[in-house]
Amino acid sequence: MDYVLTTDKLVKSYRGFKALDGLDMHIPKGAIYGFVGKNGAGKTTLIRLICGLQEPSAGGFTLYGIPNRRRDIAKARRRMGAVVETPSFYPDMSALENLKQQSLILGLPSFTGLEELLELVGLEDTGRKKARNFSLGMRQRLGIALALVGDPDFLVLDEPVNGLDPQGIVEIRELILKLNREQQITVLISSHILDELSRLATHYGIIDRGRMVKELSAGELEAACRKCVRLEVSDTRPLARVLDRAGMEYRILSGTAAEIYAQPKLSQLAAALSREGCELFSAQERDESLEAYYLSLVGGGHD
Amino acid sequence: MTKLLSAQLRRLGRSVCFWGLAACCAVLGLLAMALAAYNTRNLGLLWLLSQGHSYFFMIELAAGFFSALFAAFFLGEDRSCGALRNKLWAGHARRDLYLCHLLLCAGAGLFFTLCSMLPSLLAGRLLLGPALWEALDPAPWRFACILAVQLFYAALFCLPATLDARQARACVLSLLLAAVLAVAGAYTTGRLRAPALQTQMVLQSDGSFLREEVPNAAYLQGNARAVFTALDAASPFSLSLRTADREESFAPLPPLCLLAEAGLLTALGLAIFQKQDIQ
Repeated sequence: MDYVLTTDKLVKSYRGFKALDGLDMHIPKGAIYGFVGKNGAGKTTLIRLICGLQEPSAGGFTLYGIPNRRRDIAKARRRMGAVVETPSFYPDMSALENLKQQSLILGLPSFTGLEELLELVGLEDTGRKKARNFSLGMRQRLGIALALVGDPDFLVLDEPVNGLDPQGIVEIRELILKLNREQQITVLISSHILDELSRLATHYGIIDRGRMVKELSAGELEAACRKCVRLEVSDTRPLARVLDRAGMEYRILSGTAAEIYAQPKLSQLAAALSREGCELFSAQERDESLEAYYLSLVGGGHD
Repeated sequence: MTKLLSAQLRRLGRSVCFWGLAACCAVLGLLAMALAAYNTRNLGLLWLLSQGHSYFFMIELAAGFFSALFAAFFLGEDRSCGALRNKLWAGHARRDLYLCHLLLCAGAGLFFTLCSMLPSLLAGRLLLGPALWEALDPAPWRFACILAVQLFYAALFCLPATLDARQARACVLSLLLAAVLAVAGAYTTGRLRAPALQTQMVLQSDGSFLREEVPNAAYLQGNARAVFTALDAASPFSLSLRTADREESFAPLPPLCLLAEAGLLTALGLAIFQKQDIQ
């Protein structure tokens, strides 16, 4: 398989604290790689290393097969675009001026295609409005547009939907999907909004305390996620007694809802519950979500 | 490097900070010459011949402040707004980024000097006529010294502007440095220029005064003089004072000292910037 980015036991320490602790990661070409982890897990640190904002303390990475210690890593970086944490732009310039500035930084011969880029991210109507007066969503879009100047084939997005309204989130998601499908851009997208990520990603990397806990494709995740039946009942206490007797694995969600990790015979279950004086209102088959899978891997506690 | 410079020059052309500072320099140049014309009218042509030159070079005394403001606002914005990150992921080397800042700062400093001197010359020609040419001593070494001073300021103020992500802090620090350099330069030059002897009037028994030369206690001697001479040679403000003084002649040590200091500051800034973690 062709990889755009691989890391090999990557370590980044800050005064004794290891933000990355031997991270191994593999981003296949053409993938939308969802980089999942809690706040402080090391997602942004990895992105900073890839972008050349910081140097690894140990280990290394290859970008398009070029090791980070080689001088021509700069050439590989020219094939990527990035939005690291908050979008970076000159606040006193308009969106188009910012794109022109980035074109010059990249040494592009002309400014052609920049209006189309603004159209792509939905900023075509901003005219001469200075970027400092943009809303949060517009800033994110401008950041993405800047990352897309020069037609990169690897896009690195650090929490791109942070602070966006629901419509903005949908638009950014559609934009990322469009870029991936139509222009075959490989995308690394870090987020802790798992539901959003699960709608986009073709591959996942789950990171915790600077280590890669699991790397898997969307297909593998689907297979790994257990099926469950969600029950709505009048009271979960009698339900728990019935399920314990039947030896079924379950999880109580509230006083009236529970998930069963098995395929129960509903007529028998309803009869058993009825004998306990409990009423079964509904039963719905569900897949375990990315969120539940993530929590099963890294636990639900906070640092 | 060329790409970075062309991008920055385009930005420079639209920068309110850059043109605002250039306009301030022009106003300063005009005001200096207007003041010279006013004094000439009141004190006569002899005053112009002895002091006119220093009014023309007055901008050099404020050069540190202009460079500090330019570096903090224009170059500092690159760092504070995160545009520097865009340049790094676009594959530019940190060394190129730093040197580009240095060149811009030095270039802007020279441009500010021109922005003051050209209007000053025009105003002087209009207000003072041909007498202005006699008052000026535009020896080439003075302009070489201006170049050395600007390079020093660029190397100094590039440090906080490029290394500090907090633009306000970089600005305050730069202005403080400029002020300290100006005060220290003026002080060392003043101490060194104190005469060895001073005139004292002594009252005689017949009621008359006798004028006699006595040793000046403020005159620096021995090691103290050597230390002050070294400090003076290392001070950009002292060199600016020499440039603005018609009576001064060329001494190669101060500009060479400043160039060496600029080289050291640049090496230091580069070494820190190469290793610095950028957020």
